[in-house]
Amino acid sequence: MKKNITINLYGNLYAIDEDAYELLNNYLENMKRHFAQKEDGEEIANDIECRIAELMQELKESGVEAVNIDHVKEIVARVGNPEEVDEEKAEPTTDHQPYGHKGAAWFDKKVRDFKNNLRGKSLYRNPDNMVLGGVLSGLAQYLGVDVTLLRLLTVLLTLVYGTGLFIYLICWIVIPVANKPEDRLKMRGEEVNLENLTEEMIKEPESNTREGKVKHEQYGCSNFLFRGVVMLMKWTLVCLLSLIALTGCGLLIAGLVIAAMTLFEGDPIVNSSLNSTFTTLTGHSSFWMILGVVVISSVSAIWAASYLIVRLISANKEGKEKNMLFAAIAMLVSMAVCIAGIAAMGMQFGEISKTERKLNQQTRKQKDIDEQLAWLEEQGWNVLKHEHIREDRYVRRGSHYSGDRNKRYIDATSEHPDMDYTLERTVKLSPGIYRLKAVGRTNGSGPGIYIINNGRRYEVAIPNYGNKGGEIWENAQKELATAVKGSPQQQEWEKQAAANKGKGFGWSRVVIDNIAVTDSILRYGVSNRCMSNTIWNGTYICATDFKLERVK
Amino acid sequence: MPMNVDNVKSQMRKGMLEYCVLLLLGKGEYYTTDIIEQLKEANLIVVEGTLYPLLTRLKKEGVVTYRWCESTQGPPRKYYKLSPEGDEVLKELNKAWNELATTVVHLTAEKVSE
Repeated sequence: MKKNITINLYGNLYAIDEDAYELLNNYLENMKRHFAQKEDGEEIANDIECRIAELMQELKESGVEAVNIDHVKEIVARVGNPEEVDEEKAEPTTDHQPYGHKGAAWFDKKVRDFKNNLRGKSLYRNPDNMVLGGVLSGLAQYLGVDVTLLRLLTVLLTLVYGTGLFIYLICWIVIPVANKPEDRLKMRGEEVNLENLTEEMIKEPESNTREGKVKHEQYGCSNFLFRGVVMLMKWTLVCLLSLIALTGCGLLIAGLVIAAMTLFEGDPIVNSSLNSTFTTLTGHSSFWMILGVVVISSVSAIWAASYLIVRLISANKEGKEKNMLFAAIAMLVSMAVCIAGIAAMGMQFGEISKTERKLNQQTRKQKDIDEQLAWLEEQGWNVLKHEHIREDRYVRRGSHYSGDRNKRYIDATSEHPDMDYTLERTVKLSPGIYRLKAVGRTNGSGPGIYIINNGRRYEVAIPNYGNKGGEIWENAQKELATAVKGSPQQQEWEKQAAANKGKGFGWSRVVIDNIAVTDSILRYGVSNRCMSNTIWNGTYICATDFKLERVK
Repeated sequence: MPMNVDNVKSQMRKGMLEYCVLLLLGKGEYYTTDIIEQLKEANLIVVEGTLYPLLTRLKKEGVVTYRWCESTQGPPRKYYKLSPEGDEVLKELNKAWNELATTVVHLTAEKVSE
């Protein structure tokens, strides 16, 4: 049973089946559109319409009650499609291949192919294959490329401040949807002729079932909000999954980086610098952008990979080869993007951590210097001279005569011949006889301790033992032979003898005796240029254990 | 298939179509469907629609003229006839055809005699 309608052609009524009417109407519309651009095209189209009315009249006279689709097909076959009718229509072009340069010929062919591909096509949104509005599948039809590629490109382009999505939305609004069969033919670049049109119309009922209709309406731009919510939900899910995946990835990367850094550096700076590096890194917007790229590309790679796996496992592979190929390409591209993103992150991390470490080193050095100076100040030392010596060398630990690596002592090292390190204390004393004791070591002549009392200077040289032996060490060796085992004194000597793996650090005691103090102010100090009659020729001076004792 | 015989055939038919329409109209006044019937008999057209652009063009070139006639059933009809200029054109074409036909006959005869 078919629905039947009545049409009026030049004042005569004809009963016609609905599908037949659709076909006829399409045909006439096409004819009009085809000739619309031509001179007198309207007249030609009208003439043809007249002819069709005549043919309908003939049918009516021959006793046909209602024109059906076969009649219309017959009529259309008689009168011909617009392309056949048009006498100006270009002859089927034979390929006149110019004999030119091979590369140029190839390029020409590509351009020609592309142009041929566009010929007779119109840009529509494709209702048969849509994710959102069918813009990309329509564009893919128009350009003759695969839709997956365009979708991938759009997604990637969306990462650039949402450009892809923006363009998509505009296209969605501007480009019409191919709702009519003939639109779909034009979208695919198929000839709008009788056979194709009929075929397309026969296909039509499938998508015109209720479900199909609902679907079509849903995908329209008007229902954008609904679609948007659905997409948002999907997207949230994706983001959530990505976040989980990323947390794992991030922890892994961080762990690896920390492991590598501690392994290669073993420096306490690393810990603090790593910390500050992360803080700085997460403060960079580019970091989050790259992170986003990595997340999305990794998710897309996972999707593509899982699709491939499912397809490979499932027995039904027919017709899916193309999809699989594109899944494979998508996977590879996503993986490449992901790896590039991770590499970029790594590079950024390395860059920042380098500067952070430098910064940390600087602050640590400054802190160290401050600490050394504070110690000197606490001890009452004034730094009179500190020239041609590394700025962070005032005080050191490590080579104390007792072997204790944590004991501090005055220390300056320099290869510079003009090195000058002079420290001085000023003390108030009640009159009496005093004695100044100290220990020191050096590897040159010139260093010593001095006292300035009543305007007179007394100096005693620090013996030059270098970095071995020393009077303290020699004395300890000697004393140990007769010492009572277990006494505190003996333990002290043992330590001194064992310093520097039993070789001694070169420390010696220096004493200035018989200091008769009458004025209450006394100055004493230590310097590598202490001895007035000697020229400094070493590279370091160390001193500690200054003690001013009253003898009488 | 040796070259494109179909193409050559359609070219020939296309060339002849215009001449034949003029020949027909030279005999009197016809309306489109009459012309179509005649040409179809002579296998000169495949689809009827071809005729309409041709007639429109001939009219525009001033070779033919038409007048509208009401029909008892169906739409009004266009009746075509040659204009005075059309007569001249037809004469020219007749001459050209005779020459062509002579040549073709001549060539065909030669081939046969070989």
